[in-house]
Amino acid sequence: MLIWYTIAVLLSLAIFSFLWKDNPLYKFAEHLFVGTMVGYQVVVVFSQIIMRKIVDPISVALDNRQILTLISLVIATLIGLLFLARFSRKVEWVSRYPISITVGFWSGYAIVASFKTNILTQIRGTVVDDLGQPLLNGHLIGDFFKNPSLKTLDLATAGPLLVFGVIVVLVYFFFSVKHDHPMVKFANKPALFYLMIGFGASFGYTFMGRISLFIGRMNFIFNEWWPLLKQTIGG
Amino acid sequence: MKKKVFVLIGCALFFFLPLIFAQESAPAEFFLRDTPNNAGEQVELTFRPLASPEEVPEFLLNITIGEKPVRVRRLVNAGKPVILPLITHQAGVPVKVEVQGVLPDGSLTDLGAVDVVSKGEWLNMNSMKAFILGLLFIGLIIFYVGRAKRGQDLFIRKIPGLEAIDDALGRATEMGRPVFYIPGTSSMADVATLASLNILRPVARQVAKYETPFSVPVKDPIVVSVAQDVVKEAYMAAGRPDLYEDGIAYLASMGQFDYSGAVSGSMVREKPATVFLLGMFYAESLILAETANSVGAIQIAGTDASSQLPFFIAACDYTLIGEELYAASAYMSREPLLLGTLKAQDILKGILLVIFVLAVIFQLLGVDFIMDSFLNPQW
Amino acid sequence: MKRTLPLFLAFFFGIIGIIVQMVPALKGLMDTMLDWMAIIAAFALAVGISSLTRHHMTKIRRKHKDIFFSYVTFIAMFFMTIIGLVGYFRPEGALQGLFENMYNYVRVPLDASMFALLAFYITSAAYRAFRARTWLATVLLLAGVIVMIGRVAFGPFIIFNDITAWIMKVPTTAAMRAVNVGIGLGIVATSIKIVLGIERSYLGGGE
Repeated sequence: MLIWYTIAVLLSLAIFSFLWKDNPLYKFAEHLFVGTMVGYQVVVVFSQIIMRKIVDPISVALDNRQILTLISLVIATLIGLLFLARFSRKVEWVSRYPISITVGFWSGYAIVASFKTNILTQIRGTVVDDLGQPLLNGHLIGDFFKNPSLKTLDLATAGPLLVFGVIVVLVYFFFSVKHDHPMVKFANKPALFYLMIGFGASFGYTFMGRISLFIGRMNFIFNEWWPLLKQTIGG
Repeated sequence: MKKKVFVLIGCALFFFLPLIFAQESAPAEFFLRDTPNNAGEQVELTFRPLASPEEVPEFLLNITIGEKPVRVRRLVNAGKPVILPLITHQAGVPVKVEVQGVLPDGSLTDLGAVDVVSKGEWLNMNSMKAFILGLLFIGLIIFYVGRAKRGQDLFIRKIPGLEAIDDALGRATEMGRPVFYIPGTSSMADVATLASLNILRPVARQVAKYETPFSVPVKDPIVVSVAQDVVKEAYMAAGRPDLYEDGIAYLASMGQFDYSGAVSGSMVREKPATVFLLGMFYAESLILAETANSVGAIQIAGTDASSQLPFFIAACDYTLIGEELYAASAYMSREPLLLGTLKAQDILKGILLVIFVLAVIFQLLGVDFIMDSFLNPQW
Repeated sequence: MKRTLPLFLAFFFGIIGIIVQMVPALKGLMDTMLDWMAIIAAFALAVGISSLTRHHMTKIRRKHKDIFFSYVTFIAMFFMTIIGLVGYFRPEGALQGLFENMYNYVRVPLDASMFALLAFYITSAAYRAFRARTWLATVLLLAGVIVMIGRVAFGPFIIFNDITAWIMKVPTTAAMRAVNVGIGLGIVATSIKIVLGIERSYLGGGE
């Protein structure tokens, strides 16, 4: 066990050495990493797809005489095999068939999906909140005037500011409107303001998470490997 | 006159009827319905307790799905309605729910039963909306492509990241250092990868013209095939098939961080003058962007991963934000077909913006028309 | 055959991609298509491996100074593949254990360490953003710093916590939503162009 732990620690240090400069240790770790990962992917593709999605279902289909399933699997396999045409200069273009099938399917698939999740859901979420209350809510603004405090101010302005932000940023990204158009001119500054706050905040939000990753690695070295080493050497 | 009386009576009935029925109020009301917009794999029970938690603290649901044995579920009366999805796995499965109320003394009262048979719909109405918008989009594309073909000039605003491409490539040529193009780290299933490969073509053509060393490290096997084809045709179009080799676009590795490790290594060793990071990225975005910066490269980045945009904005010289990445191929090629779609995209966006503003205004006035018809997820 | 059939296939399968999402009754077809995509992609692996092999073979043939490391990649790849495949057929054998150890003590730490490098890169990126002297960069940085403090705030700094919550809830959500709507339109536009055969760069482009 200690040997494996030590290998893990040495490899971690080899990767970190890249921060100082490119060096043979890092090169070794990098190339080892690529090799193991590609080898691992081969095994995963073999066990999860070749065996589980092709060989096993075909033998099941043969046993149960499910002709349709069998035909579907064989066709998919044959289409996949067309990729191998790339190894010959003469029939290389045949590999365009599986490529265009993949590209076509995923493109069509993306149309409905992104209309729903990226467009309609986002717009809906900007008109009403999760509970179905409108974001522009007259009552909340009234509440603020009746009882002015930071909390009611927040409740009253959050919705309108959100709606305003979405509109100006949407306008900012119009491609075919001239930049001296009054609408675009008006939206420009506030939109950049919203965008920069948004990006800055997301950056800061992730910052701490990334720092803790490094702490996690140090933790492995000092709290797992080091005690194990001491224990083994000390008997 | 007579009409008015009828209307009045009708209205009165309409308002009082519920009151008449409300007199004999049950401890709970509930109904089963087939969940819409699916293939019949689930039905849902809507349960609204009417009695207070003191009167009936708990309900017992005896659920029978198809041939399966009865399952008993306890439902604590929280005074709020609940919707329970019941999984049937396929269409045509009868579902029955018998409800009993548990009184404070522990005795049970039968509240009746409801049943339904799960069924699959032929059309997902939610997706129908997407389909209608899609058709509208295609109509707009055809219209604007026609206009562009007739020679009408379609104005497109300047996109700084794309304007910078020529200079960045020229710089690499002057310095005699290579250009790296990273088409994201996702597969063909992400349209961003395709958008990136669309930009690869004009970039590769320019690089071939300038005779600059070029390298396209890729993470996905299918993307490698496509990238090789794109680069090859671009070199041919530039009249430099002699400079092309299959190794320009190559598979650097297959996992997220081994890929970024390998590409960072290549960057440090080959010192590219210009690095393109266009496509779908995950956490590795910053590793690649910062390494490129450390070797003094100009980075032109662009992604539709909104979680990675902040890092590109902070670390890169130029960043294409979201939709700018998708607009790039039209912007660079200036082909009327592609420009027409860009214009159509803007118009559709305008339409959506109008719907959005109208929905907000209508909501403010308390009218739910647009919400219910167009933006309602359950239509 | 070389140009028209691929365009037709993209169109045909694009329509299938749309229909399977619109017609719930075709869930079976959707599952079949997703399986198809996985099966087709599996064969592309051969192309990928040959590309990687050629990349390193070229280095070896040109007697590149890093020739040793290309051998490291090859050996690691073959070793991992062989022990993995043997282990798959003999799950109780010693090689399966070796495969798991290679995974846990070589792959996992390398992965985690590379990921952990981000701690340094994010710091250097923040530092560079700090030096930019435009009002936009200042806004970006200010928002970033407030949120960083807000996430770990305690005692008298707890106010940053509330400001952070507000920044995340209002301006950040607004910006991200609008960006996402634009992205959605971009995805749809690009997809439609591909399905209709207007955009054909993926076939190498040109005519």
